[in-house]
Amino acid sequence: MELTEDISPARPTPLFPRGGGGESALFGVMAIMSFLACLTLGLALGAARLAHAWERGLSGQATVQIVDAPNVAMEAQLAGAIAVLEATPGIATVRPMSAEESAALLKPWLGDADLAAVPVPMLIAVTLDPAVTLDAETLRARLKEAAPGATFDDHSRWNAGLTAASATIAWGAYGVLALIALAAAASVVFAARAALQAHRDVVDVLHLTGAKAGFIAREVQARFFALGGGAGLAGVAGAAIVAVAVALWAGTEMPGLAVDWRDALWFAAVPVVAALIAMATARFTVSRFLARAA
Amino acid sequence: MIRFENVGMRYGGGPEILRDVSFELEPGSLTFLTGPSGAGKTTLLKLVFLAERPSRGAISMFGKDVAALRRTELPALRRRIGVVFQDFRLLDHLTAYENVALPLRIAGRAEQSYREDVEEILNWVGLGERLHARPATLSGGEKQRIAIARAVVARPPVLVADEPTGSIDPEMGARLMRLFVELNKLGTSVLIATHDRGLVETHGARELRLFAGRINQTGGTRWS
Ligand SMILES: Nc1ncnc2c1ncn2[C@@H]1O[C@H](COP(=O)(O)OP(=O)(O)O)[C@@H](O)[C@H]1O
Ligand SMILES: [Mg+2]
Repeated sequence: MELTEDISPARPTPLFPRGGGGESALFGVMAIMSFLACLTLGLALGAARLAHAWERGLSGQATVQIVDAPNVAMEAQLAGAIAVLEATPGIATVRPMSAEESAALLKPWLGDADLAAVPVPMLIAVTLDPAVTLDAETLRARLKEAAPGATFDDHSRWNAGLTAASATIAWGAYGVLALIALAAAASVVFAARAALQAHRDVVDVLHLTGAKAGFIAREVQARFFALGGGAGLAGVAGAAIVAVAVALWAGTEMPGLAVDWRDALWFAAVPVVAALIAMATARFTVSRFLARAA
Repeated sequence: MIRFENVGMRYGGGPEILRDVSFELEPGSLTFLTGPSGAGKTTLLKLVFLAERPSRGAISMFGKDVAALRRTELPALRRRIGVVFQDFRLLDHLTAYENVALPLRIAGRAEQSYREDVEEILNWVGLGERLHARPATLSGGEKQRIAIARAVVARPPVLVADEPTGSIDPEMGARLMRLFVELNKLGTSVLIATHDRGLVETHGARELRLFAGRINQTGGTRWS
């Protein structure tokens, strides 16, 4: 039959007509929420990365300083310390500094004083292997044994505060993300309820025609899924513009906080999560609504 | 297949609209529900198509006690009752075709599996040419016929119609009545509410007469 071809559109018409649920308002709210979620996510990821980097030793550098110790020759201390360092996992390279290098480092403190007259400590430059976590406590204990005048400085006292601060920022940001998700869900509840109220007549007809709650919920949630996903995309697009701006202006000076393109995957998840939140919340709301209406 | 026993019905804390209503609908019967406006015809039909629950008395449908039904059992029962609402209740944003197809879509059937059924029903009510029309562009009689087509497309064993001839000219009314009689001859139990006693006299069918919330029965030619 020729006629049958154009009887119905490729996809069946949604049973709930557009509008009535404050849809454009919800779209705006969800888009803003997604935008804020992206910014917060960027902050969380940046802070977490920073905390991680500081935890490992920001520069990947450490120094061992050896001063005179009673009864042990400086050379013996140096040799012992080097042996211990080379045997320690997490230490990539070990390089004793020459007297001139040490002197150059000390010069700001000692000025032009005659270095031969003061006991100059020996320094060993150490680079850390970023892939292995260094057990600094054990290293210190073993260094003390091999070279009583040696101290290991991995800048960790300085780093500890920064690490804690970054971790706090990261967890705070995750908390904010959860709040944003909650607020988004709440706005979907209101919109879904408003849509059902506005289309009460459709709900009634579907009910009396024998529609199960699940059928009605599917009709509604499909709409909210699309709406949430679209709003999420809009939010991410806005955040992407901001991210590019940040990368252009501040990216080089703030390596830790700058946008890392590997994080793109996380940002791509934002519209998906927005769509899923909208869908799940709408489904929940419809089920509650219908249970009361019976 | 549908039995009312001493059914009473009130809305909220209001007065009792129906009192001690008892009757039974047999399979394949044609029954008129008559009474003046405000007598409670629509209220009684709402009980039949499970839009309301009685405040007292017992209703049994297809062998099930309505009071004992769980909410999840309602859809299956409702699908066995086609309803032509007094105010049509077509979905305005859907075409005639989509409106008629609604019960099949709700039943989970695929579009290509019911296309021909829907076309056939639309042809039967004389609207085979108006598949794409939306309700806003249809006349009262056409809307009524779309509503009838939607009510019967899934071939329910019971058809309930609320004042189907109320708002249209007598000629169209007679035409619709012929559709109901034809359905009834094919085995559907038909219950028609009307304030038009003339209809009953023309068809000589069984009549449930509602007055002041109570039922008076008079036998028709086929059922007594
Ligand atoms: N939803 C409702 N809430 C309260 N009262 C109602 C409702 N529907 C109908 N009524 C009342 O019930 C009585 C019967 O109404 P109805 O069943 O519509 O009568 P009919 O269909 O015979 O004209 C009327 O007095 C009407 O005001
Ligand atoms: Mg009425």
